[in-house]
Amino acid sequence: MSGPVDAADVDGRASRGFRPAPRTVGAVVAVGVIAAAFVYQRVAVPSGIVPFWGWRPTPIDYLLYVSLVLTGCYLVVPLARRPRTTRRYWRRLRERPSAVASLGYLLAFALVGTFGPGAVDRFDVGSAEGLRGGVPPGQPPPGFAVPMPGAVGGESQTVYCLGEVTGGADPVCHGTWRFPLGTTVAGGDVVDLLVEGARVALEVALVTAAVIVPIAVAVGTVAAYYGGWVDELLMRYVDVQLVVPALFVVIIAQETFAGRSLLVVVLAFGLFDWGATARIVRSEALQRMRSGYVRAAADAGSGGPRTIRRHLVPNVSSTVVTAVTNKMPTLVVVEAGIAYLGFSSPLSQSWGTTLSMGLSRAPLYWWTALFAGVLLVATVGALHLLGDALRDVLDPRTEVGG
Amino acid sequence: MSDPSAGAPPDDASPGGAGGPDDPLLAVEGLERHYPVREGFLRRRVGAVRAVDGVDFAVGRGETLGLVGESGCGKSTAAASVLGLEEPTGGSVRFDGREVTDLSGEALARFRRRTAMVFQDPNDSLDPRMTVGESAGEPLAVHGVGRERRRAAVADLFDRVGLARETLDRYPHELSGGQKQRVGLARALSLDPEFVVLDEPVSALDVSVQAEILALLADLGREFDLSVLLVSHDVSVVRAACDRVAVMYAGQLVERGATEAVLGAPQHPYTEALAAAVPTPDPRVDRSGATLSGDVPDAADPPDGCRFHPRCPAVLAPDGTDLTSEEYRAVLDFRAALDAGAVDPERVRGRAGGATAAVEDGDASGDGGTAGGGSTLRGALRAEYGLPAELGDEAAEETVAAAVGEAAAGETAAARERLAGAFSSVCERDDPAFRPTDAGHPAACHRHDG
Repeated sequence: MSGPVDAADVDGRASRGFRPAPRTVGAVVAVGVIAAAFVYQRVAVPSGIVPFWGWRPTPIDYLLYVSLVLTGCYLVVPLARRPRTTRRYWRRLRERPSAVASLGYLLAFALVGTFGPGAVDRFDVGSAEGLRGGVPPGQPPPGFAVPMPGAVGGESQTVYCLGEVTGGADPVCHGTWRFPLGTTVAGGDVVDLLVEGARVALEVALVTAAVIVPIAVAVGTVAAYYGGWVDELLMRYVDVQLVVPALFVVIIAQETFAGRSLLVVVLAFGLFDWGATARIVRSEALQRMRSGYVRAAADAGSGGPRTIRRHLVPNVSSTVVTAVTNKMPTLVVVEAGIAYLGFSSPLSQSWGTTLSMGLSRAPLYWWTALFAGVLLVATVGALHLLGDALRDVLDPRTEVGG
Repeated sequence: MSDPSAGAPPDDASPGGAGGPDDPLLAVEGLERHYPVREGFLRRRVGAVRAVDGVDFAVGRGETLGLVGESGCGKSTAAASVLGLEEPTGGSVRFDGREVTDLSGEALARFRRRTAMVFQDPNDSLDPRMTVGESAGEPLAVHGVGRERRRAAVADLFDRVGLARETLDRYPHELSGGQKQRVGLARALSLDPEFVVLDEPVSALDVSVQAEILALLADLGREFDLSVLLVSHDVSVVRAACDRVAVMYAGQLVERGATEAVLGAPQHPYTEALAAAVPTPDPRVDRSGATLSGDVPDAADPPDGCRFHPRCPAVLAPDGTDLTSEEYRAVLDFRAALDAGAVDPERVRGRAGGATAAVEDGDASGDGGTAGGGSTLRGALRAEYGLPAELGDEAAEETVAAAVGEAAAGETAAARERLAGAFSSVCERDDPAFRPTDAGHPAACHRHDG
């Protein structure tokens, strides 16, 4: 009896071409649709007309949709396709209640960031409908009160009070449920601002990660696999890049040619802040290079691109997820910092902008800064907690032993 | 796999020749794999680790050759170089008449299909992110076999290596070590190769599983008509599985021939020690003097002459002396200890102090000026390094006694110089070549010179 596969079958080698996985096809199609919509909006729709039934996404919104598609295809789909592994991860994660709480919070945060702005419009949250003169500025949350002009020491700008006014000569404005977290001095609903801020934070975290991950994985694995001058070139470039902080790139680009926009922040961090992640990927991939299965692939005749795609990339994925989850909180904080210092676009309502507005009038309009600050701290803390937990949960060493 | 009736052709005993069968499937000549050692800012090459340093062997069609040696002797590097997984720095590897390092493109792909390797550690040779079915079918995927055919072929292979078909969709961590090694075998056999390298195929497994896998290897070798290069540090594995054996020490071969001949009548002291390290049920086998001390020498700085001489129990005494092998061994050990700076008279004195009475003061040639305590120390030093009270050769005794005296006085540098100048045997000077021996197979040992 000869071998299970005749040499004739093998000698054909006709089908050696690149055959993408279904999820890659799905990702490419979805990204294509989004890109087509973007081009349609930019080219075909006359200015002044709002396309897509009143829904007008900005370029950064398009990037967020692309990032969400990529996250779905390369994170959610693989987890769903390997239910046993996913259950194992979940069992390990469940041992850490703080990490589970963080995951729950972050899922809620992602939902609010994705659908929140639309929902806020639809349900007229914080709208001025039926109010004379728009959203009244400086309204406190229900159950609290703020002095109005004419009160003793009143430097307040709450000239109009939606709720009950008490105190006679020293009038005090009480909050109403119409604006559950109050309004800002500039006349913005705080709930609305927080939802917009969640959108900004999500865009910063997710879009930047979606740019960083492919670059870092490609550079790290290629450097590890080919070694020699390829490795030397890529890693020296990373050294050079690490000398120039992405924050400088943001400020210089915004103040010289690009104009202030969230897109500049996201692209600058995406394109200039992947160096450390690439190094982590490279060192992890170098360890994988010494493993038997990479040698076995080489023995079978597998070339560089195939070995990188089939063995190195899947086996560094845990490291990448951990590294990027630990990078996201920094990105969120840095963007909030840029906004707080006033270097952000006046159109994007970052938590940093809200925080800055609130702190400039503190402690009088305390609710403006407080809720934005709480959300910022909660988001950053949850990302850190989850990142630390993932490092243990996804540890590939525990994978081998089972 | 071990099939004595097939009768491997007798080793040709010509020195330097490939040895082995007339029309080998694989012929390795003068194989070298040196790793450069670089230092300093300019990464200048300051030396080389000679992992494999001039190795000749051949594997006949349908034959199993064992490459045996201690860990670190370069046998795995040699095996990887044979398959082109390591680029050899010298020598030639010919597979079916064609130089392996010259292969490229379609010819290289064909070579990859005709050869395969089974790796040592089954825990690390299967990708944890792939099902074992995917891993076993990987060579087929690389060579362009479609998914359905691949799955059917792997299922068939799993039957043959004794794995249940349900195992196909499992991940490596869900399998035992023996099962994983069976997957590794299935992977190696998936392209129906002619030649397989087994790199320590059972050393990572439990002893009970080892026997199973070895039996399976023997069956599969027959069934697939394989030629095999089996690399192992375990003489009993080689004895059970191999037709012929090549013994490797510090990057070089020291002896090769039919398994029975080499392991039954070892002609090289190293083989003798290796063979003796395996427990034998036969009480008549003489195992005296066959224990090895020390480690394989540093491949970046191998000893001059025969690489085994620093550990050799049968080292030849210098020409023109009446020293026995044991006596010269003791002298060399003493010298090695001096070179390593391990001779510490204070420590020996402290240990001998309590047992002064027991140390017989037979050191007649000690110079009279030294106190009685000095001669006791000299005696203790000689005992420590196995030097007899009186060497069989007068001139040698004089030199050694003087050196011991110097060592006792703490002048180790002088003792080193004295010994280095006085003695040098052929084992320390010349690298032995392969020579025919009385047992019929060649060995590289100066005992067989002339």
